[in-house]
Amino acid sequence: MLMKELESIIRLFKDRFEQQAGRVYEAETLDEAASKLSNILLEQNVRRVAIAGMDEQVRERIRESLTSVGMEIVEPRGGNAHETINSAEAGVTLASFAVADIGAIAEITNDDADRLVSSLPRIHACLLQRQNIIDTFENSAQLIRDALSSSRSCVVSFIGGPSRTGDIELKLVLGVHGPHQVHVIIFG
Amino acid sequence: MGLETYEPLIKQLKNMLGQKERSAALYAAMKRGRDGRARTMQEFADFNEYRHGIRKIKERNIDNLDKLLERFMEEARKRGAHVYLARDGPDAISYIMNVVKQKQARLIIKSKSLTSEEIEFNEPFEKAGYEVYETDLGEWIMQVAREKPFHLVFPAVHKTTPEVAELFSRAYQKAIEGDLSAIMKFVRETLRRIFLSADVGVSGANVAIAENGAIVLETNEGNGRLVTSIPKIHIVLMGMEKIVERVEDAIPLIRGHAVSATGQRTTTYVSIIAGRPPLAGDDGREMHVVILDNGRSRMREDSWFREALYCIRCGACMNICAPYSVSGGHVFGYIYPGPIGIPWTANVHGLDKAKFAHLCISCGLCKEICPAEIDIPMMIARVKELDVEKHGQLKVNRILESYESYAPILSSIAPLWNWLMRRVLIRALMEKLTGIDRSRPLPEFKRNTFMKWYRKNAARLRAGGSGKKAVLFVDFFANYIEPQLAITLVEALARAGVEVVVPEQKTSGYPYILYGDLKEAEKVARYNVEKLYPYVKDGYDIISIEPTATYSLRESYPKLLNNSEESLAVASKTYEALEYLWALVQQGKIVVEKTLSGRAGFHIPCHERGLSHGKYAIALLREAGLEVEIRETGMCCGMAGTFGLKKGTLGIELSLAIGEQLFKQFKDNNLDFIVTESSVCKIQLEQGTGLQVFHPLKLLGDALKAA
Repeated sequence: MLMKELESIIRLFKDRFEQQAGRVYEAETLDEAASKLSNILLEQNVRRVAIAGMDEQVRERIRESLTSVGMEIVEPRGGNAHETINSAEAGVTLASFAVADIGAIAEITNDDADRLVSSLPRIHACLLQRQNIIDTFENSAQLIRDALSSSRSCVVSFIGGPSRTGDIELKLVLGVHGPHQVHVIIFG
Repeated sequence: MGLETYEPLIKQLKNMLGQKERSAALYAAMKRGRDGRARTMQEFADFNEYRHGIRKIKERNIDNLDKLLERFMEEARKRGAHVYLARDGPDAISYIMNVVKQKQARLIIKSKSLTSEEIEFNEPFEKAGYEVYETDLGEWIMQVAREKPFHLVFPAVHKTTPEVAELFSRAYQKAIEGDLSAIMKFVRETLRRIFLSADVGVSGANVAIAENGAIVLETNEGNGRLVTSIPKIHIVLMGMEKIVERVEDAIPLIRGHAVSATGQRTTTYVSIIAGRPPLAGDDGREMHVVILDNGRSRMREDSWFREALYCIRCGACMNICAPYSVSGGHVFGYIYPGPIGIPWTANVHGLDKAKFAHLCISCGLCKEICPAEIDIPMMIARVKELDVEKHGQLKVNRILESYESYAPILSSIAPLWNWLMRRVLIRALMEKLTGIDRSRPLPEFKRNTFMKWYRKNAARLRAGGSGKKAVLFVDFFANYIEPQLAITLVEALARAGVEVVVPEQKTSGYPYILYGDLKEAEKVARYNVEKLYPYVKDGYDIISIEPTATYSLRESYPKLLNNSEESLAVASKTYEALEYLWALVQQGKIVVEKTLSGRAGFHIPCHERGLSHGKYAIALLREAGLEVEIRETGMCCGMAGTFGLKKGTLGIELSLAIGEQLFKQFKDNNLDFIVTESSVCKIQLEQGTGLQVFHPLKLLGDALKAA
C-alpha cells in the first residue's frame, strides 16, 4: 500500500475513534509506545495492571516499562482469574487490527481472560501496529473468517471507544460496565 | 360485533395523551435517533443503496433458511456448543431450565435480548427461585420497575433521573441521590458484584453466521462482553431468522443496525463469538444455543408477513412513527413496540394482542426509514384486516374507507351539500351518525368537476405536437374539490405540446389500506391498472397530482397485485405532476415567469417522502420567485388521510396531539403562508397554524408559459 494511502487511513481511524470518545497516540517504535503507555497510565494514577496474552516480545517490553515506573502486574490464573483482573485499574492489550471507517480496534482472543482485560478495568490501553489498520469494515471479512476458522473457539471483538449508555434521559455517560477510557497507541 | 375490543386501546391512549412530559421525553429520544441516523448516513456513498443491499441479503438468507439453519447448527456443534431448536417459548424455557438445574446454577445474568422478552423469560426463572438480572441499564430499570420497554433502543426513556434514583433506592433499600453520577456509581458497583459471581449468562444474538457457527452480539455498555465471558455457562437465545450465510452478509447488518438505531457507525462493542473459549485456561465451560421458532416458520410461509423476518431490530421505524410519538411503547406495543411490533405481535403473541395496529395511520414512513426496506405499512394493513374480519369494523372507518365513492352524488348536489355542511346543527347530527368530527372544516364539493371540463376540452387536449403523451390520473381532490388544479396542469402540458388524455379511472383506493380492507384495495388497484396499462404500453406517461395517489400507483398497487408485469409497468411510468412539469422546464418546453413573491413554509406530505420529498415543487416555486423553506418534524402531520376527521381519541384527538410539534415549526417563523401538495395535510395545517395553505399548482397558475 502506498504510504500516503496508509496515512489517510490512519487519519480516518484517529478522527473517528476520537469522535467516539477514545484517545489515540502515535509512536515510532515499540520502545516509544511502551514508554508512552506507562506515562498515560501514570497520569491516571494506575498502580495495578492486567496484561492480555500477546506476542512475547511485546509483552516483555510492556512489562519492563510498567514495572520500571513502579506498577504492579497482576497475573490472572485459574478459577479466580476474573476477580484478579477486576482488581486491576487498567488493562493492556495488543490489537489484532483496527478498522478506520468504523473507528474501532479489533481483538482476536482464544481465552476469555483476554477479553476481560479490556472489559473489567476502568482504563483500557491498547497497542496497535501501524500496518494493521485497514480501511473499511467490509474489508475485514476475510480477517474475521480466518480468525474464526483458526481455532475451535474464538472471539473477535470490535471496540469503538469507551463503554457508554444514554439510557437515562438520553444523557451520555461513559464507563457503565466497561472502561471509562480507551487509549490506543499506534506504533511501528 | 366485538367492537368493545377497541375500548382498552382507546382508554390507554386517552390516558397517555394527557401525559405531556412522557411524550416530550419520547419525542426527544426519537428525534435523537433520527438526527443521528441522518448525520451518519452522510458518511455513506449512498445509504439508500446500502439499505437495498441489506434487503437483498435478508431476502436471500430467508429464502435459504432451511439449509442455513442446518449449516449453522452443524458448525456450532463442531465447536462444542449444544444447539437446541425450540418450537416456542415454553419449549425454550424448559430446555434452559434443565440446563441451569443440572448445573446447580443460582444467579443468571442477561444482556439485552428482545427474544427473551418475546418469550417472557424472566418470570418462570424467578418463580423457580433463580436470581435473574438484566444488565443493560435501561432493561434493568424496567425490570426493577416491573414494566415493559417504552422504546426498543431506550427502554426507560420515559423515566426521569430522580424517578430512577427513587426506584433503585426503594428496591435496594439504599439512599441514592437523584443525580446521574450517583446512579451510575450505584449501577456499576452493584452490577459488578453480580457479574463476577454469576453462574449463567444469557445473551441474544443480533446476527448468527452459518459458515462458522458464530453469533454476533452488539452492545454499547459492555455488559454483553461480561455476560458472555465470566459465567461458566453461556446461553444464546436467538430467533431463527437471525442466521445469515457468510461473514460478508453479517457486516452490512451490523452497520445498518447501528446507523439506523442511533447514528453510531457500529455499536461500541461488536463481539463475534464462535464456541466457548476457556477462561484463564479453565475449559470446563459450556455454550448452549437455543434457536427459537415461535411462529417464524409460519411467517416465512405467509406472503404478507414473510418480510417481517427481515427485521434487524434497529427500532428506526418507531423513531419516525407519529402516533407512537404521542402514545409510547406501552400503548403502541405489546412486548414488541412500534410499527414493526404490529406484525410481530400478531404473529408471535396473537392477533388479540395486536389491537394497537389501529393506531397506525398508514403514513408509510416506517418503510422509508427501514434499513431492510420492509413494507411495514402493508403488513400492518393486513393485521388490521385480520382484526376487522374477526371483530368487525368501526362504523366511522367503514364510512371513511369508501367516502370517495359517494363523491359523484355529493358533487351533483354540491350547493345544497356545502350549505348543509356549514350548518352547525347538521354537522352535529352528522357527527352522531357517522363519527366525523364536527369541528373539522370539510372541503366543499364543486358541481363542475374536472371531468366535466375535460369532456368539453378533450379534443383540443389530444392535439399534442411535441410527441409526448400523458395520461392524467386525476384522483378525488382535483376532480371534485379543486378542479382548477388539474386544469392548470393540463393547460400547461398542452402549451408544452404534450398530448393529454383522461381515461376512465377510479380514485386511488388508498383509504382501504388505511382502514385495513385489502380486498377492496386490491379491486381498485386491479381496475386502475387494467385501465392504465394499455396506455403505458402505447408509450404514454402517467401523471398524478395527489402524492397519495402517486404513491399508490408506484408503491402500493404492485404490492397488492403481487408485482404483476402490468402493475410494475404502470408504476415505472408514473410521475408526479410537478416532477413532470419541472422536466419540461429543463427541456425548455415551459418557461416559468416570476409571478410570485413572499415567503412560504413548505410541508412535505408523508407519501411525498416516498417520492421526491417535494423537490420539484420547491424548484418550480423558487423559479417563480417565491422564497420557500421546508419546515418539518420528519414525521406525519397527524391528518393521515381521513384519520384525523374522526371524532374522539382514535381520531381528531390523536391527530391534533401529533400535529402540535409541527404546528410550532410553522408558527415560530415569519411565514406568509404554507405550501403543500396534499389536500388533507392542508386541512390539518390550516386548523393547527391559522395560516393559509396552498397547493403549488394553485400558486404557479399562469406562471407556467409556453416557451
